[in-house]
Amino acid sequence: MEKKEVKFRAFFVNYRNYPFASLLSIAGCLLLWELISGSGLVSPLFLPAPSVILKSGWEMVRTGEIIRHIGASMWRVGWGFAIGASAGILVGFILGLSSMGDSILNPLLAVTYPIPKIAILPLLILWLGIGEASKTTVIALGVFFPIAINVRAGIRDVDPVLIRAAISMGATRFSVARKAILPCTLPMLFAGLKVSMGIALLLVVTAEMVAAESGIGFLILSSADLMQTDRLLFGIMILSVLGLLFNWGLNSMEKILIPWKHTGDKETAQMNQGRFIAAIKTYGRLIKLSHTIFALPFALGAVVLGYHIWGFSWTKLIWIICAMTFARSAAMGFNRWADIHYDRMNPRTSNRPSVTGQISPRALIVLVIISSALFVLSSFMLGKLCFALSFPVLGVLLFYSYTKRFTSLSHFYLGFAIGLAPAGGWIAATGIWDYRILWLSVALMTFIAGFDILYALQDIEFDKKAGLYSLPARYNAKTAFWVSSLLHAVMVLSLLGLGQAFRLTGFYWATVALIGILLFVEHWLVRPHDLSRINMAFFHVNSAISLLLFLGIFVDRIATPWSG
Amino acid sequence: MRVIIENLSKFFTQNGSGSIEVLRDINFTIEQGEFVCVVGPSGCGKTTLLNIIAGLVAPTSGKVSFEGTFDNARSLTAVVFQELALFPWRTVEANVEFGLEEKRINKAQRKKIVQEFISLVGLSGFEKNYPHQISGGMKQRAAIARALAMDPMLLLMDEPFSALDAETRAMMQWELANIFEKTKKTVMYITHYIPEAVFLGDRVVVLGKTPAQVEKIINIDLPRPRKEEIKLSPEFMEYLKEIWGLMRSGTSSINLAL
Repeated sequence: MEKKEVKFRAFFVNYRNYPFASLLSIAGCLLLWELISGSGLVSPLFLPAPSVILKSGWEMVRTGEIIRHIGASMWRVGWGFAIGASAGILVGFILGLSSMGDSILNPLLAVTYPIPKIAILPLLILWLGIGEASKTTVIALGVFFPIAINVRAGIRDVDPVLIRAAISMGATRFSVARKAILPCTLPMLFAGLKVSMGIALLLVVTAEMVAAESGIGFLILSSADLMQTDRLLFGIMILSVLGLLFNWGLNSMEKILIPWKHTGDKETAQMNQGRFIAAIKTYGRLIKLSHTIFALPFALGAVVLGYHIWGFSWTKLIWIICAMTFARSAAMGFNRWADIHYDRMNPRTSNRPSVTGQISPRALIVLVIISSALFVLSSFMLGKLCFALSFPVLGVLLFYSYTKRFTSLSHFYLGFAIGLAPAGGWIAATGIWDYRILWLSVALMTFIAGFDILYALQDIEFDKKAGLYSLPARYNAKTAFWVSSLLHAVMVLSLLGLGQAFRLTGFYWATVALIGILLFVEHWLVRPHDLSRINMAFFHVNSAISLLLFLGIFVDRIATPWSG
Repeated sequence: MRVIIENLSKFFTQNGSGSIEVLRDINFTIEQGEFVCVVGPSGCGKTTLLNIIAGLVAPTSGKVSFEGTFDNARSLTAVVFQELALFPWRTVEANVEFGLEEKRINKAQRKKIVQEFISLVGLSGFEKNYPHQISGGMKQRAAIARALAMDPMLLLMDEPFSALDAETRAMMQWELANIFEKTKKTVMYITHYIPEAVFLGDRVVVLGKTPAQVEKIINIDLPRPRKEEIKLSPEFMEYLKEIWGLMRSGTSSINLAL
């Protein structure tokens, strides 16, 4: 007798997401572009490197030139879109709800809709002059049609059983329109708005190329006339960013306005956003990008404190931010990789991308290696001392992942590791060592250790079961709570020490007082017996503390005219 | 109160050529507090009959009338649709509230009534959920609560449990029987599933194949409250056999009137 095994034949219909590949695709293209332009194979006159484009773009930001162009274009798009969309919604409703209205207006629409709107611009210029009115009108016209047509289709597509249900409950004609038909049309309306947004961008650029002295279209055309390809390409980049931003804005609005539609289909939503943004979000979630807000302001505070010594340079600042970000990504990525076993077991962490399989362990390791390499590279760009220090620092950061396996003091180690950031920022900025900056490091260390203990309160049961060490698991919630309060008291004292050491003035002292109050609020929010509030509120309070501190130092050191 | 259905006929005009006869000369009455089940083969026109009684479809000839004392606060009918027709953009609570809004009942009163019926159908705790966030059985409950909140003189139900799995369906039937006993509603319940009709009904109106005619009206003499075990009794089986026979031998056949 023969034996034949059934093979899985449908493997090619298993669509998967490779966030890693999506992330690399754009980065890869930019790199390739940079290399080609840098190699001299192509004349920079025709294809300047991305770095050159960003540099001249930055120049335009600094002089305010680009802001003027974006502002002019946005003004036109804003008015055109508002007028066109309102008219479109109104006419769409008439077409959808009234058979007579539909019969009268539909032929008019059918005749005018196919006309490319830009063809009417010369006529509009004759009628309305060459100013803003003609441009706004042509955009409004372009926006009007897709919206009117979509709204009509939305109304005609409403499930008849919903209308019957409303009538069966005694709804009048007006009630049916308002309560049964209108909500049904919202998804179609948004589809129309998104299409129109694209059309509005297209029309504003075209109109500005025909007749304008400002706007992105004008910038692109006039740069081409002068062979300034870098400025031209920067204009195009701005358009891409604007398009993405609008789409993102409309998608978010849709999610808020149509809550019944979007909760189920996350997958489609991710596709709509584009794979690249989805991938960035997945990685952002993995390395808790939002938590950057806790430590980065401290480090930047150190940079500001060193301002008088080092003078200012944008390149240096950017490398400092890069170093921080990559160090963090390496540490968080490594932490997820080292802890994957525990994350899988803990229900609280079961939706992390590393656990759900959105990001494989192999991708995690690649992420850690790339981030570490970029961290070392950024440090190298900041000078010899930073380069030399980057290796032990990397060791300290990565080692954290193992501390909770043998000591309940792991919170302090985490505080210590993150507390290196302000010291690092200072050294990177000034190139010298100064003991005074330790005040800020200690403040950050106690801040982080203090709230890490509070976070650990959520995992008491799990840590005990899994044999992990944490203060709350080792002692009890109440003790942990008191240690945390003590640490935060030390934090406030360190901030006072910092102010003394750097002779900071009134504004800084005021923010420290506010920070004290916020810490008090935080400990009032989280009680040993009620952990339900270790959530967004908690996150916001911590972010506010960090930002306040930076603001205090920044305003006091740089922005206050009366500070010496 | 009684509902009288007199000489009801319905033709649907087809695209282009002629029309199709769906209902032929339907006559029966529904008495106050009665649970009347209407059974018939799939596609025989049961839903059309229900829609005519609800005033959502116009009959070709004949009429439906209500007799008794009327109170403006009460609706004549409320419907639990086969497709449920819950508004996806309204939470469970807001769906139940819909009919009350149309009756212009003040907000405090509305909230009270909504709470009452949500807890009657066992949906407390799910008031703020959207329909897509709850299970099929829970959607059924929400649709029933919404219809009951209208306080209709006649509650019309169109195969509300046909989309449920066998387990949930049996449970919902049992709960519906309970709710019916608690609220003493007058109900017309449409189904193609004979055991359901016998289990729930005081009387069963048997319709034949299209065009639907009343084959026979059968009194179900089974004691209430009815338990699940009753479905295994010989009497229950007898009713099933009789109705099954009537539905198969239906005298009428498809009739295209040109």
